[in-house]
Amino acid sequence: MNAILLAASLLAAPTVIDNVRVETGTTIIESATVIIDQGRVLSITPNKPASSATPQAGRSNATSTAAPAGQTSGAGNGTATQAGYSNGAATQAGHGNGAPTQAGYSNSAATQAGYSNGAATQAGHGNSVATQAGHINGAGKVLTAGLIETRSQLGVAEVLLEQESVDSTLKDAPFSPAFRVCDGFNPLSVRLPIARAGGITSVVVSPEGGVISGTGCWVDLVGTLASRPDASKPLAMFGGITSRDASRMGDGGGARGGTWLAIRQILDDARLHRRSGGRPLERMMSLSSLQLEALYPVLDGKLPLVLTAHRATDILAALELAKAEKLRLVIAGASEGWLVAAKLKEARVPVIIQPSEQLPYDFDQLNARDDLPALLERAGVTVILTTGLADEQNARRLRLEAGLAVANGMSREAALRAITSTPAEVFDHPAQGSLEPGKRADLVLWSGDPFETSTLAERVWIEGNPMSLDNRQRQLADRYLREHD
Amino acid sequence: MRSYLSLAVLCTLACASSGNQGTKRALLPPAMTPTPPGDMPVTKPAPPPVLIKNATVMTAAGAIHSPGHVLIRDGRIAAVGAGDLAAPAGARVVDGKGMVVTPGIIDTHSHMGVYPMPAADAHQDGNEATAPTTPEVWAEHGIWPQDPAIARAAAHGVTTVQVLPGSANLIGGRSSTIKLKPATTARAMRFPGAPQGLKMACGENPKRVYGEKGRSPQTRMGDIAGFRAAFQSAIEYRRKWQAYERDLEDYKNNEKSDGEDAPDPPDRDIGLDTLTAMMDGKILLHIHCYRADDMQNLLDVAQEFGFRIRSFHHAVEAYKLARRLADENVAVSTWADWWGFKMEAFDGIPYNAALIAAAKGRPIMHSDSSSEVRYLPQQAAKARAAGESLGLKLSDDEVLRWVTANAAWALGIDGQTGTLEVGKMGDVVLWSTSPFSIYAKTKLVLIDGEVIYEDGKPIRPTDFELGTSAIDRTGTKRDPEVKL
Repeated sequence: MNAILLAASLLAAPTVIDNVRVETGTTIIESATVIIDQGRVLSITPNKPASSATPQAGRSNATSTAAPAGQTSGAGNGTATQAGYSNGAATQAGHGNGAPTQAGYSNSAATQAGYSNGAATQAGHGNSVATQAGHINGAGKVLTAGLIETRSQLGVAEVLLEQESVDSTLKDAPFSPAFRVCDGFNPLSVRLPIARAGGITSVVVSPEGGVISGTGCWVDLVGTLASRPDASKPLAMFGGITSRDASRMGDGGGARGGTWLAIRQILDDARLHRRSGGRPLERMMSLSSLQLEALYPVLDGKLPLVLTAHRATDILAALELAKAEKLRLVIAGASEGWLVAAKLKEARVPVIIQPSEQLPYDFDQLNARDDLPALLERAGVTVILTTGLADEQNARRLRLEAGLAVANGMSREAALRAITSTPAEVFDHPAQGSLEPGKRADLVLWSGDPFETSTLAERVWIEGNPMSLDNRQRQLADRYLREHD
Repeated sequence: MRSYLSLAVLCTLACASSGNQGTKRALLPPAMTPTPPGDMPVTKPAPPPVLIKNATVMTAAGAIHSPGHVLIRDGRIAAVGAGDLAAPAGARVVDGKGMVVTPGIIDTHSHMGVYPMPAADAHQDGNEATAPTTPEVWAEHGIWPQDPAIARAAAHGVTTVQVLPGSANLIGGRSSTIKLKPATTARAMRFPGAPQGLKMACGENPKRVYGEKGRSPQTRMGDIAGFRAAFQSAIEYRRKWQAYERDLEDYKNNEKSDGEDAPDPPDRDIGLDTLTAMMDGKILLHIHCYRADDMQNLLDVAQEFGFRIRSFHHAVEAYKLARRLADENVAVSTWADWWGFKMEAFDGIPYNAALIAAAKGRPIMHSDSSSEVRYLPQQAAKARAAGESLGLKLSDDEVLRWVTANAAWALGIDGQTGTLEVGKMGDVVLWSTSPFSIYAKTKLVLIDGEVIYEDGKPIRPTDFELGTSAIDRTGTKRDPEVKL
């Protein structure tokens, strides 16, 4: 939470989205009224007897919504106690652009007195966090939590082939636990508004390359300097044990055993370094003090260790290491994860996977299958979906990755959770990623099914604030559209 | 050296797949006219007829029949239209109720086979990056037919692709248009009668690859100079052959009177054969070119040396040059939303295809990816949605053409495939729903009327894949512990 956003959300009047289809990841409400206030979701009120339908997966839950009022709110403005969204709804005196001050909105009733559809389609240019209070007719549209991309180089890699614009990778440094990729994060990256226009509201910025690459951080895609993350508060440690990572090791020789030897050595050094408490060490350390200290929270099982691994045996080896060292492991990649799904489930290790990329790209992935997300879901594994495991970054495709997972058998609800609430939970941001009363209002209003190719994000809110959907690409289109006229 | 080479020889040498080698060849000793083998004859018996009925039939030729039917017989489309059709004897009848039929999907830009899976150093056969101009090489000679990506693409409704050499070189070599039927050799996969293509690349890649080696091209200036030098060589080469043909003609006319030796033919240059054949329109030119100004420079080179560009690929800035490209009848292969991985891709926008369509150009969704190739109709749908957000109206038929008919035109095979019209090849896909939907699954994929993929049946593993999987796609399980 930053000062600018806090100020904006305090000024903003409630926003009412009516007649909208709500998809929460556990429930689908065909038509509801959703009220956003003080940066949070105040209420979700079904407009008619809860009729839910799941167009694709056919798994429907009829109950209206989940958690009761009074969610814990980390950001301090938790005044929005709800009277249960089933009957609480707002009467909004002024329709349109006015920002009526409303007393006691939490108890009032939403008279749906035919307000117009005039809730401006957000062609608004500029980055203003204008308070756009009022009614929005959500008829025919779908509201979800904002999407969360967990493997992102947004803000740390502008143009991959231009080294000066890339801050995501340390060259020739296969073990750099103290590397904080977010030291290089630029919230003014031209890529941020483009990702946001695709419905992404938060990303996990992660380092690339190496066996232990360094730490990443959580970033909300507000795109202001004030939203710059604190790189000294790492979110997770990242690394990789694919054959590609191993072959980058140099002295490791590329053998898998060499990778594991190096990892064991570094963990052992970190433990010894810590025990020494600053006293002279009895032997040479493999890494510098800062590097080893960065591993302490990993050894404590506090900081997640996200390891990219595809081959079933590599995943098993990682699970064994995590068990022996009591690490908090997350597996990314996991093309062969379905072969060891029961083990992943038993160890409660989440996986981050990219549905569109299940191909036998290399010898680690010979058992890749398109129905990987469905197989993992069925086995009870915690699944996160990503766009970020391919060579190139295109976070706005995240919703389509979820759609492909559904096309290949994953349930619609799990697919939505896998790009919203699950990454928020796994990466310790439980106030985000859920469309629930009391949770942060990071929301997207979609023109239709959020997973479908023909759908566009029409509105995006971060902490209740409407975000501009304008971006450089739209500006280029507008310029050349005019020139053709 | 005496021979009776004629002007037709140049084409004979250059147009390997034209199948139009005329009668003169028979008059010449084989050693004098080395000619690469042509298309392999089809020896299989024609597959049984297939009638798909009760489906929405999207022809990519203007009409959408709902409900409609398609009959595929003797490997070709025998009937297509609205309503029902009586099934001919022996036909397999498929009820396509609620489903959609389209022509087979065509990808103009693939490296399947030349950069196959799994990544192996030994299989990197797509870039002869030893010199910036290598018109003498053929993609067909680098294709590993066992690439597991090929059958996967076919299972997603892709029936034809153009396999191109990579973009390290200004002039990368000849492309090969293949049908995605399982085969033991690339030549057996050749699209019969398809012209070959010539792959060229402008902009960053050649200048990076050779600049790093301290060689030309190191700049865009060097790129263009390299093209011009190559085409000047081709013109001089053609001139030598033309002079020779004239001398030979004179010799034949005067032979009896003066008794001199016949003129010797000029040395043959395999690479210049490719360039002259392209300049003569017998090989179609496809240029990897991102930026509008790079495209303009290549259009200028084409004008200078008198040849035509069939299509630009990766043309993410085509929208800046849309009218010019439409006027020149140059097709535009692009992506829906890839952009920004390098500077020349920085201005790539999702609205590109729609803006080209609005300028009456010829947009195409291509993949350049063994993964993306599987989702070309969905890419087209995204590009359409972007265009419609600008207020541009695009019909289902128009958008389908971006992955079928337009691609067929770019490859010079539009007379044979790319639409559902009577007489065309039986390259047909039955989809569970609109192919533009993210949820679309193929139910049936036919190539030349032959069932290549059918929902619920395993994809035929390539030789490489046999025995390399824990549970291979024939259902063989190698580890009893593994559960599905």
